[in-house]
Amino acid sequence: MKKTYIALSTSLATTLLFIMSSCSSETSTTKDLTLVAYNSFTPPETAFDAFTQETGIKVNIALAGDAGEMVAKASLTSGNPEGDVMWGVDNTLISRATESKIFASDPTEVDYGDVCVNFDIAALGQTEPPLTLDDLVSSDYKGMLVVENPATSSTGLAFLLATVAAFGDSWPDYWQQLVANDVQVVDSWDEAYYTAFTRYGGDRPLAVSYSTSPPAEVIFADPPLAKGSPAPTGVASETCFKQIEYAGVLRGTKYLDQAQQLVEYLAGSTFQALLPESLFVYPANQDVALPQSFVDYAPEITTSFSIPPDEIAKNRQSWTEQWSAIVLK
Amino acid sequence: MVGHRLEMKIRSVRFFVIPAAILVFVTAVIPLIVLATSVIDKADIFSIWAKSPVRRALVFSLWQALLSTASTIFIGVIATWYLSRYQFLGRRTFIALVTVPFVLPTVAVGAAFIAVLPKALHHSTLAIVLAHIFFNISIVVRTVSPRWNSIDDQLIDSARTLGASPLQTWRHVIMPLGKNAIFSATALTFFMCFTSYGIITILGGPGLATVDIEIYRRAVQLGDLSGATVLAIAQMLLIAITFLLWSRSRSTELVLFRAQAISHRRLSLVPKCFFLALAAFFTVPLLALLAASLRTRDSWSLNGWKVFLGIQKQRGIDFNMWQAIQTSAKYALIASCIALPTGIAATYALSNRRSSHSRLSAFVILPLAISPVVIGLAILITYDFQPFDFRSSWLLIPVVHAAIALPFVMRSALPVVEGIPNDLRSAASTLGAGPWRRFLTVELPLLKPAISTGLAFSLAMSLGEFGATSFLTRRESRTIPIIIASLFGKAGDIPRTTGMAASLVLIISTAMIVLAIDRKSHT
Repeated sequence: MKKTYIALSTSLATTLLFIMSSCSSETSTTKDLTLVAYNSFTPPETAFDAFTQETGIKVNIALAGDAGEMVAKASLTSGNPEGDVMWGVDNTLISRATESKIFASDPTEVDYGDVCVNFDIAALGQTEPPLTLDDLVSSDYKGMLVVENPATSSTGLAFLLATVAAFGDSWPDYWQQLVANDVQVVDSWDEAYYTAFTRYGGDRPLAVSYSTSPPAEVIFADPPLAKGSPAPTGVASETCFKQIEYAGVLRGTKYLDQAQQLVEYLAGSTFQALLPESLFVYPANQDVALPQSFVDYAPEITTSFSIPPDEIAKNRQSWTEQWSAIVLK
Repeated sequence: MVGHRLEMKIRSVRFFVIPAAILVFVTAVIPLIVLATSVIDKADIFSIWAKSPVRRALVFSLWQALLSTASTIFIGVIATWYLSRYQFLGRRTFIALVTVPFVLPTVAVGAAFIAVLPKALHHSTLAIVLAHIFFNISIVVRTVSPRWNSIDDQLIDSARTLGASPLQTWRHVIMPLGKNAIFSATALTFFMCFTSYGIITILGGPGLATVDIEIYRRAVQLGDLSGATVLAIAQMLLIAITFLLWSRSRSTELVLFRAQAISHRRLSLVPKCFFLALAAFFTVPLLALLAASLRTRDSWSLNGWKVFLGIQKQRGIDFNMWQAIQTSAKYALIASCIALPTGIAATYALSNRRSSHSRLSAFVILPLAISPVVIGLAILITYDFQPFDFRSSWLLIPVVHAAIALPFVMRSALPVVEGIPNDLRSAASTLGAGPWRRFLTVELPLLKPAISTGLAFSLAMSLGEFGATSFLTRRESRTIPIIIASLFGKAGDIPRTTGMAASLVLIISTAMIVLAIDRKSHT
């Protein structure tokens, strides 16, 4: 009896595995490359046509969750990767990625952007918008700011890092002042922006978001804005933390040369020109001209804070834990 | 002679558990063992429990789950009683309506609840409990009502004639007959609340974390895979053991069978009001969602819908809705085709063997009991060598969906399968029907309610699944929930209204599918 059981289950298991493996081999022919990216990697569907035309290589995009999940996956499969190239490891995660040797060579900088406090111009009314981190603790802005939890959100982490870079060891005091000024904390960017921010029905006119959110607001405005009118939101330009994203060839790929070609394409001007209006980031390639929406509506950020990646990696856990102890009592 | 044949039959159908066992092994057990052996640092097995976020997460998971489960069962049992014993206008629509929240993207639910709830209740335990009732009441309705549907009216009437008060009838007749199903529903609901993720992050506010959230935080934000895996395995074992003890403690119950349709009793005023309130509780968030899909800051607009339907091109948003609907439908169908026969076969095989069944039901809960992040990582490092490199196979997603739906299929099938009287089987055997013929002509028609419930659950589970899918998906085959998440990641009117429209389409299509299945099975 027992033996029949074992025989039956083994044969069934092999069949199932066989069916699955035959399906998988179908989809990956030799001339395809797989680009691993985070879920919000949304370039136009035609973005890789030029590359395919030039090289004959088709590009499949494997979405790997959010950026943090993507790096967790990549570290675990380091040396035997799911794909050939990875897009979008930012400077808060790059140390973890290089430590676990996920890339075959040094990754290339592909885009950058800033995380800054945004304000809703209509909701502020007569109140002067804030400019600096110090402004945010003034009583003029009491009960106005919503931030994301750095333990669960990458924008929240970036804003915490901005305060660490600005105030050094005394950053906990700054956060104590923010708490006294009735800062609201939520777990994710979409909750901050779409439920707490006044523009979408919340009661907070200040929200931690991106420096490129104003041009996005203009592009997506419904009804479209009248020509020449300003963006509905603005950016407190001295509250910013610089996020840089990298792309690189994954160690263990069978198609090293082709993968390298793909990375060059990602950093090249054809692809880079698509970035501003689809991912809402700045192209790293300086030869690429910015689209009119960015020229007109994206504020110029001259002073953004930054912290070296290895220092972020070393202190990230203790900073977020300290932050939680102060803010989430 | 008959006894001997029946014995033979029970033995031969025992093989029916094999597909279910394989599904669980392939999607959960093997990957988890591989992950555990490669990442766990032995020291973490003991030291992790000393960390205060872990302790807080455990305590919070437990107490909010107890509270939510108690409330869901209380309201669910009352609703189920009326739904299964009375005929009233909108009854079927209501049953379909309560199944819908299962597929809702949490961002949309959060937005809807926050739009509806007064400000003071945002980020409160009450909001969490309400949302959990909203999400999980269908588990109670769908597992208990097939059982109560099959109680003979004469039984209740005789009890009343013999002088039992309505309360006594309820306590001594009705409850004992639904007890096992209620037990099943309680276990599943508790488990769903214990591992709740999206609802807690949105409605609980920052700082509140269930064990599942703590696992995600460790694995992704802190890069502590070892700690995350230890927690994931501990949570899984805890749930499996609870299930085992829980199903063991069930008493055998009287099996009664009734073939006629629902009686046409009319509702009195109080239950009518109860249902009106409950219907409002379910429709108001959906209406809020509809309003949100049409409302931009300054005006009402159909543009979100137009962009979603592909009628209007929008710079910066590029997705193919038809292809997403196709992908979602394909995955849901494949997942159901795997989960339904597998689950019903397993339930059928063990319906007469209580202890084996309780072991099996503790076992099939495993894929659901593991945090999606951990299962994603585990699958990734397990099937990474030829010819088993499934990482690039799209089939992986519906297979994982099937594994997640399996416990729901089995739980909803169990009360029905147990309700098939043995006499009927023996009678068919005595009359010379072979096991297959008996199955096809006698038992299959009786299994109809189980099949429809299982199908509704597995379709809904697959259509709404986000965690595991987001980990394994491809750009060209994104499901609707994945597209919704990427829309809500962009700032501006159009992405928001488009995202709300997509959520609503997901809800409405699920409701229609469920309604159609229910209708089919009752005619």
